[in-house]
Amino acid sequence: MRFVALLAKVLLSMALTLAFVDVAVRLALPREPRLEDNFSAAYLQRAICGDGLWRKTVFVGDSALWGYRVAAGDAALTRLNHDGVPVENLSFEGGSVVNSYALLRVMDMYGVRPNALVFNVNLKEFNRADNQYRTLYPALEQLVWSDLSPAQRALLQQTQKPTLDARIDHAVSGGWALYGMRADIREMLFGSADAASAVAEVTHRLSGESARSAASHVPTPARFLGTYDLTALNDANVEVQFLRALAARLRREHIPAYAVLTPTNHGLLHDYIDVPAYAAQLSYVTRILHANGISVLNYDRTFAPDEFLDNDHLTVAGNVHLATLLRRDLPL
Amino acid sequence: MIDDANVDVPGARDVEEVLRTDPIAWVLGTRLTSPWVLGVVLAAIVIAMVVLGPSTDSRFIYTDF
Repeated sequence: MRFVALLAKVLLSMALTLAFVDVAVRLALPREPRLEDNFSAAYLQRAICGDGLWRKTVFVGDSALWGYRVAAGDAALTRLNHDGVPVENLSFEGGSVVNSYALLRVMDMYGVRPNALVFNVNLKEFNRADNQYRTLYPALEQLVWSDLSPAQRALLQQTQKPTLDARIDHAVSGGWALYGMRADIREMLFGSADAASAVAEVTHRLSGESARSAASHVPTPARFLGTYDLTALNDANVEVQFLRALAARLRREHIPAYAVLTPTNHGLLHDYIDVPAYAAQLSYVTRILHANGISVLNYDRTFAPDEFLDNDHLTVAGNVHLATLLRRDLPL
Repeated sequence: MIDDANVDVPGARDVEEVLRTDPIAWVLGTRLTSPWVLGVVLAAIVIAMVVLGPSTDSRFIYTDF
């Protein structure tokens, strides 16, 4: 009996400590200027529900809007935020039209209606060979999957199978913030996916491997062979189907919406995309957007080659330029 | 017959005195045996495992060129 009382006290003390830490994590975990590159479903839910999106212009899209390979503070949308413009960057690496549609559905699920929505359309993601094609980001998939129609689910490639441990993991993540946001906490603490990866990165830096890798990371036209599929777009393309669904939903819900045609490095990709088939694809998606009353910001040819890191990711100077254009073209 | 319990060993310190003057002995001797402190320690171990554990998330890996 004495042992049972002792055990009860230990368990109670443990539960109280974990509960205290859980509350502290919920209240004190910093809100980052943009989503981390390994954000969790719990963090995304927190960002959607707790950041006052009803008064903000929300940006959803891919790494081009997110600010790939530039520091968070140098990304175009963070610059707008620093200037006092009420924008929220919910773009992420691996974003696409399918993911933008899913994010809008998640906002709907939580009763959040943004003041305005801006999304980008990147033609490379309409390529069936692209790894973003018909694929949801895992954290987003976790939140939205059951809310999608069976027909929509059938179009997508599910990354997380509904196994028993996945269900347990989701249930625990839902009730325990520290566990649910462990990926975000690790990113904030270590600047990497986990402690072991952080140590590996330091080792690579010290051994010179990182420098060698960066030196070999030079964008040449040959590296982008096959990045764009210039076959005429039609409704057999999953991204086209979700673009239609996204545009129609925005119109139905009367959400002011703007689509950015992603800045593209025509200097680098001249041999592949400066052809009528590419222009036809741009016209095709523009028609879908206009038909649903969505304003199109065509930045496809707006940026100079030296403002790009590669085919569609902007340098720091490119991000400054993008911030200037967005401020000029959007009612911010 | 000599009663051992009542024998004063020269140089030996009273247990209470040790606990009062030696902080490590105080923690090990009293606090860790408290079930409340043990619960906090176990919770700290769980938290450390969650935070320091390996990433098993099926994150999207951006395929660079």
